[in-house]
Amino acid sequence: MDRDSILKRLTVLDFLAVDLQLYLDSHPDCKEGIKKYNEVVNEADGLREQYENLYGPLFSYRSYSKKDQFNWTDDPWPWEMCFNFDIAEKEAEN
Amino acid sequence: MWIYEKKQEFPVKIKTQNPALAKLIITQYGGPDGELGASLRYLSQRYSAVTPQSKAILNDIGTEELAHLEMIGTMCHQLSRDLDPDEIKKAGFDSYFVDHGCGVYPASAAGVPFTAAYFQSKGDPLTDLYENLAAEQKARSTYEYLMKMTDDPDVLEPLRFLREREIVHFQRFGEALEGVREYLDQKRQFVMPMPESMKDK
Amino acid sequence: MADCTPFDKTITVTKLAQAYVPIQKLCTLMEPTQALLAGTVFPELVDIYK
Repeated sequence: MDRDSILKRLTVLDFLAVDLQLYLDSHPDCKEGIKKYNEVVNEADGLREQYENLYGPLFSYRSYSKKDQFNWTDDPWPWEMCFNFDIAEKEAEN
Repeated sequence: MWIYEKKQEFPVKIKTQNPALAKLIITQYGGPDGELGASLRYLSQRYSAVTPQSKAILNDIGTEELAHLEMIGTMCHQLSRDLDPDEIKKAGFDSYFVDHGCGVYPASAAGVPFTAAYFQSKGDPLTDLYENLAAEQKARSTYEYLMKMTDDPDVLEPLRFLREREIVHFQRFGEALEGVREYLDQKRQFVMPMPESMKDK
Repeated sequence: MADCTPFDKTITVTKLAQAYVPIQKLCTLMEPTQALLAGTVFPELVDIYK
């Protein structure tokens, strides 16, 4: 997978986890919700590792620094155009 | 504590500059119903929350609002990059520009700098949740007004996302409200023991 | 999952001068990429503007 595809899938999965997590905050006993949440986290974990191996750390003090230089500081940063992927390869515009 | 993950919650990639629009969108950065106010409101209210669920919801939504703050800042930054003085004047961006250049600064669309007066943390768990329900509606309305101000799909997509998040947050605060009400009415048994100060309410 | 309604249409009101928001129940989830575009993974919470 190329960078944009990995980042897109990771963004999607992490968002799912956030929305599910908020739901679980007020529905702590929902077994089905928990199951789905754990599935999402599991897939996201694997993808996050893949992304970091190829494109650098996502966290400043939790990610391994795998190169000789501390590449946490590397461009681009998320507020820059080129960091972001195009969301609009629209599967279905509503 | 907070950890920063080096990616956006929702991608922001705006191909066309539009300083006039930046001047409006900045209101969700530092304006009365914007994400900075939302974030500080919920994160401040956490401390006097009474049920574990409402503490979690205040904590987590407060945290998500910081991610939204980043999206808004990014949008304003991308909308106002590489401008020449004529564009700046024509767009009505000049009054912002002389104080902040093309930088991002927390203020409303009218130019009022951010203030904690935009939110309340009343220390009363019910009052705080009602404040939050209203805040989410105000933010939703603001996103709707902002969406009326542009046709650019690169801008509309993130705005649409942010608007929907407000609706979801409203629902979560509504659920938290029910939990807090039950707790204060003592209609259910909770694992968490009631602190002395809350008895005989 | 056939008859799943994502919320009860009646609310138990316990007192006056209160606001009540129905509690959501989990029924279906949206397809992941659609969920990101829509802004939520829960179809019953989607409110399309315009």
